[in-house]
Amino acid sequence: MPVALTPTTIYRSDAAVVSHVDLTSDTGREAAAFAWLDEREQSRRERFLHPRPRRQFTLCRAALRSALCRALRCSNDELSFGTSAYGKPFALVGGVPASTDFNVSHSGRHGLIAVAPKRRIGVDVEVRSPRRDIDGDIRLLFSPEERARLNEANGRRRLELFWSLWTMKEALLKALGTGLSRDTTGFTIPPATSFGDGRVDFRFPDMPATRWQLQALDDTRFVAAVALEIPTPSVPDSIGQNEPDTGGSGT
Amino acid sequence: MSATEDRMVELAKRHLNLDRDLNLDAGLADSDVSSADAVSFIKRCAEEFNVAIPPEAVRGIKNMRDLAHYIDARAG
Ligand SMILES: CC(C)(COP(=O)(O)OP(=O)(O)OC[C@H]1O[C@@H](n2cnc3c(N)ncnc32)[C@H](O)[C@@H]1OP(=O)(O)O)[C@@H](O)C(=O)NCCC(=O)NCCS
Repeated sequence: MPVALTPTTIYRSDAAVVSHVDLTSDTGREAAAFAWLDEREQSRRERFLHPRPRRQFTLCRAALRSALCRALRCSNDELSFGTSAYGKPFALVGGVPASTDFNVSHSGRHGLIAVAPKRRIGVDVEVRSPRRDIDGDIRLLFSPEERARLNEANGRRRLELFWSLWTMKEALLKALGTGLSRDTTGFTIPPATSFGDGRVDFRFPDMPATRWQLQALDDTRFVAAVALEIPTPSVPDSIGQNEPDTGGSGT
Repeated sequence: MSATEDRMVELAKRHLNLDRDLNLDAGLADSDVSSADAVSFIKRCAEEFNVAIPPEAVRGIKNMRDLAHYIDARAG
């Protein structure tokens, strides 16, 4: 992988690594990234209608390939992707599903790649874009308790809390694998105050056996969160596991 | 363009930060719309047309035209 495409680590624990990918427009980097994609990914790239999502996909997917080749000790040619029933991609090495989970997210010029061996992981990044109708969005997207918290905040603090809660929700839904096929108003992100460092424990109300750790990864450029499954000795709740779709492979 | 599609385009102009005309055959992500905008837009359409669009249905709605068809099939 050319050095210019190599992601930068922004979070590392025993269980997971999250890296940042620079998605700034750059023809040379995009051409180098394009060469790393397989045929399916190259044709998917061609189907994007607008330059920014096309660039985000190309640069992020090439950087993801690089990160996974390292984590799975395989060559780029051996690596391919399938998708779970709800669309979450998973890695295959030589056609065999890998036990390492990963997730990617992109917003503006920022891409994040999260990789976790043996645990489900989800990540979300959002640039702090202003809302046209933040009151309406709060009503439509958040649970009653979150709405109360958001309505107590004002101005910039409110916008910050909006994106913070949203990225945590989306990271959880992406870790679970359902994406936005699950109602975002139906569960509540607990306040982070008990940990003081933006880290919270979470359980979905209808899946109490599975615990998740939520970690805020905000910096001056973006708001972001990663959700990581916490292993429990008991059998985990089955909803949202990454069973392959009958369609098999995807991009 | 159908009457439903027309009204959706109007809603999109009011609520989405689009720097170009809405392409009805594009997914919202492909139109550079954030997921928060996409979800709140779909919910606003549900309210505008008085149609229930449960989250499970969102997965099958790939683009704006699908959304218009979904609404037309259920609107009273
Ligand atoms: C998938 C989804 C969670 C992504 O949210 P987003 O904020 O738009 O995009 P992000 O940049 O955070 O994440 C995109 C990545 O999530 C991953 N992803 C896709 N489906 C996923 C799922 N069900 N679970 C976890 N991750 C998923 C993909 O890797 C994708 O990146 P890639 O296509 O470049 O590989 C959300 O868009 C969704 O649920 N969409 C399905 C329904 C839909 O979009 N309908 C359109 C109606 S007009």
